[in-house]
Amino acid sequence: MSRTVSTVLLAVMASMASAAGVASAANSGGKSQIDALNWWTSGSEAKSMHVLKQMLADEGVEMNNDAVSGGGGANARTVLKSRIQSHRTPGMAQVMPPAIDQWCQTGLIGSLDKVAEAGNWDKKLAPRVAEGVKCDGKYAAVPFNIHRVNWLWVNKSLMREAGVDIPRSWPDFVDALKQLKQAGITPIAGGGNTWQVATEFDAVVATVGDAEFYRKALVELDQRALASDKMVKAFKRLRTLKQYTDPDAAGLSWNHNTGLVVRGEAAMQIMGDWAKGEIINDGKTPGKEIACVTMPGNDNAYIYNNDTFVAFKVDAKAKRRGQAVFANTVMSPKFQRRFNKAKGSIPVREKTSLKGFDQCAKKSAKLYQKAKKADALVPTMSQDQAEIGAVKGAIFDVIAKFYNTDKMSAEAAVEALASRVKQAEQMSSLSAG
Amino acid sequence: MATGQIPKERKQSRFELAAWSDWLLPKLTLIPSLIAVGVFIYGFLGWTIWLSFTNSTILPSNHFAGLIQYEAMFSLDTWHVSLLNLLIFGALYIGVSLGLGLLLAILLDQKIRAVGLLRTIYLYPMALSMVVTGVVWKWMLNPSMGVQHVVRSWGWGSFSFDWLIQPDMAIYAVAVAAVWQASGFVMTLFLAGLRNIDDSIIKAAQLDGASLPRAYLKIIIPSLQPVLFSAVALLVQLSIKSFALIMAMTGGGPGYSTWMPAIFMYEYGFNRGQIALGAAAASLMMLVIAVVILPMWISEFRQKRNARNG
Amino acid sequence: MAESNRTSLSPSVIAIYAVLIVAALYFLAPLYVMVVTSFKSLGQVQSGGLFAWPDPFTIKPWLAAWGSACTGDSCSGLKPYFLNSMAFTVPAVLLSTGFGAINGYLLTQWRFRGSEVIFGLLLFGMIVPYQMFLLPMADTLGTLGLSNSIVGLIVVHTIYGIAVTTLFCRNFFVTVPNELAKSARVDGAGFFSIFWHIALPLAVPILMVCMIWQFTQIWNDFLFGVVFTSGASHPITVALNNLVNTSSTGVKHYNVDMAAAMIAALPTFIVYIVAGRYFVRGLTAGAVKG
Repeated sequence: MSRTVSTVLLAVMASMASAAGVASAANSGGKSQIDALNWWTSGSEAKSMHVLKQMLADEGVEMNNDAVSGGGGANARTVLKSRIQSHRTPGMAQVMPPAIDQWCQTGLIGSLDKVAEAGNWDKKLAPRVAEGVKCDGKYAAVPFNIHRVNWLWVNKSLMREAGVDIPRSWPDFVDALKQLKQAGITPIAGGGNTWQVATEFDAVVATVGDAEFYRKALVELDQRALASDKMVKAFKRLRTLKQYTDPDAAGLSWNHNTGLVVRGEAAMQIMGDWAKGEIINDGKTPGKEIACVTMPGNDNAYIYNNDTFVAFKVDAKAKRRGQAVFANTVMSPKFQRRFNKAKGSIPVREKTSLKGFDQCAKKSAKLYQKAKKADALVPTMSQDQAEIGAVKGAIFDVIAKFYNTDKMSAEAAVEALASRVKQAEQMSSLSAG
Repeated sequence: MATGQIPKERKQSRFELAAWSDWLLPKLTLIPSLIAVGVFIYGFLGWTIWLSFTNSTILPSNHFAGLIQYEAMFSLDTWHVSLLNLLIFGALYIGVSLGLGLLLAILLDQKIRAVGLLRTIYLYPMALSMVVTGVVWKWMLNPSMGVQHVVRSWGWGSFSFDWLIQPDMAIYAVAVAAVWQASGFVMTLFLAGLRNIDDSIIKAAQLDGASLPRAYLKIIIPSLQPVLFSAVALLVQLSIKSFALIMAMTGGGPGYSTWMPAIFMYEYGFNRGQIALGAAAASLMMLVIAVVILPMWISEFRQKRNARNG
Repeated sequence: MAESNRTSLSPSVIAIYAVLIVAALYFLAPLYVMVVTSFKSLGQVQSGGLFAWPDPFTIKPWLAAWGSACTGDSCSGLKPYFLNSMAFTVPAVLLSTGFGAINGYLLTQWRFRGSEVIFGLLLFGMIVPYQMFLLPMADTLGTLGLSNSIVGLIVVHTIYGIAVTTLFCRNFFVTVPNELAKSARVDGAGFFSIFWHIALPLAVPILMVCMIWQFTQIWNDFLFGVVFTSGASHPITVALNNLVNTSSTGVKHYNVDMAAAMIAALPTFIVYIVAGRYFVRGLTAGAVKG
């Protein structure tokens, strides 16, 4: 028996030794290296990161694409904290603008100011976007792209069959929903989870007021705007949307829902332009069989999502070089074109040629410039672009409760919204002050 | 056996050293475990409890902030839903697993055929990870693909089994999957306990004129109490880990209707950047568990001591 | 209760079999669905028929799940993650079982003042929600230079496994008469000598229980895996979750998902099928006695 036990002990030691070997091998590597922590794990996203990896390799920088899936970035955020806590801060990490602000206060953020100055980012970014990637007035993060969130994706042939025109205004939209339902067609694919509902809510808020109202309520968190009658109207409209959504959709992912529209099992989906990837994968062309139209009633607002990677403070010179090359590469026209074509977004760098981009991207770019002039660019609440996690979470909770509780009135929802947002703001400003 | 191999002549000289080392060695041997448990469980526990009294947001901070996190927590609907779900889920999971496990164990103990096969069938779900369990049940309970769809395609058009998407029923769907995973294991524990019971006890009871069901109720089941204790301890541990099951099955949804304190803690502490609030939830969860488990352990301990002394 | 003298088919026996068979169907249904789905073509999966037999029968989903399915930007299937899991599970199982055995032996055969309290303190560690440990653990692993490594995961799983293994082993050793150790002590055998030559051989059944239990728990862990590893060092559960919840197209490949789930479950599954007997026997031999 004792021989068995000692064999077992030997086995333990051997396997620990080999495991240690595995661990140390992971830390080797010669040239400039940069860890990029992110939550881009789906097909098109991963492909886009691969483009970056190749381009960085050409510059002598080895990028470790540390993609953590799950929970719309929740797992990645957990990993980020645990890595900072264990002194393995990644050189670059996907962090949204409001959170950049929050990290800025911890003093852990590095600087990309030199790269930005050399690259003249001030001229190449819309002012609203540039504002979002700064920490204490200095560039700290690099923006990748502009996604438009408030799109309505429409299956044209289904609409034709039902004899319904593509709606432009909210009343038209409601009429269309009614007609589709009468024709036995599921009008809306959506509602799979709170994130999808919140994406719809973003667009709905922009139907009850202009960009200014959206900004006051969901970005600046103005209590009066949050508790206004317009907000009550927004909640009522969200409920209208729910009535025309297939109840079995609960639990379905957004891309599954996009698939329903593409295959003609539902007529429309309110979703950002990352939906294009799914349309293309199904062998259809965005803008052709599946129309991309501005969410009815959203002519005065361009709700955007700007993916950003922040530079954390790193000691090693090689790592700082890695960060600089990373930022520079991301802002280069070549990467902007290749990446955004793959990802379904438009270049964040102004005046990048859109040759070879699809119809919807071209339309998006045109609307983006128009909105920039009218100061109608607003960051999306639903994708962590407008406020920090605590506040966004509070808004999500209210939306979820309202969406899932049919007897909760819109007035009660608005009241809860205002008070929850206030509480979340107070709680998160405690340590800042 | 092996003791005979110790050379007799060395016994005398080693005696004092041996006595001394026999006193010290056991305690020394415990040290690695004690350090591990002291630092990694109690140290960390203390740290988390401390955090719950601070104003930590995205990173831990040491600013004392009193009870504000606890106040905030109890004003949140998400917390109330989480607690209620823990109650519903915990009661169903532990109760049904114990009941079903006991029933199956008693039936398997009735001199039937193919015990080995049946036991393996009941036990195998325990081998699966919560993630796998979540993935397969999510699919089975999905109304448009799973059981509901199948039964409807058999011609029962009005059949409805859509708990997974009903905000007030989804937690029960999670419980169905969780019970599926654990009850076979509980059955195994009980069966082992039953096999340990002397046949003569039952015979004696039957000689006294007790019927078989009565013998079970009055004698056999009560004598399974130690098994019950182990089973509950393990089930409590597993139900706390149901985090992964819920994540894989519902992601906490619809909305936050299937949240439990573990998810609340993860969501606030890690995702929303409210570490102190997450820590407060963790600390309270700890307290709740301690309140449930400790009295059970203490009474168990006392009983055993009395039995030993008496 | 001997298994001989089988009773003839009385109504009550039929009822017993009926209940047992219905229960068996409840337990088998998900496995059946997993298995048949993993051999179906995607077209058949989408056409419904949860319980339908695969037609045509294909092993492509298995090949994809093992070697070519994509998670993140790597399309290497589950294979590398399977090996990762093996690399930390095996040592952690053996180490935690070893600690449990020695603790259990000590707390029963070498009782001293306060040993019950120590047992209680160890046991309490079993019921603490692991989320409480994540941040301080990350800090500690970083300080020790063990973060994001297989060794780090071995340490974590060993430490948090000690409570359960100690519980199992203590409950076993408590049934072993103290006289055995006492007489060996009179013969001059020391603490380790008795442990090694007497206690361990006796404890084989319960060591099997510990190892099977720990193997299941550690192999199946998700939380520590997702927090303490990244990218290429993920364990299989995290890779599975990534694979299932990452669809590169709007179409979900349920057949590949199910094959992947089966692959992730296979080692523990085999352990239960092959060694399940020992598990039950070991439990009978002591774990369930108080």
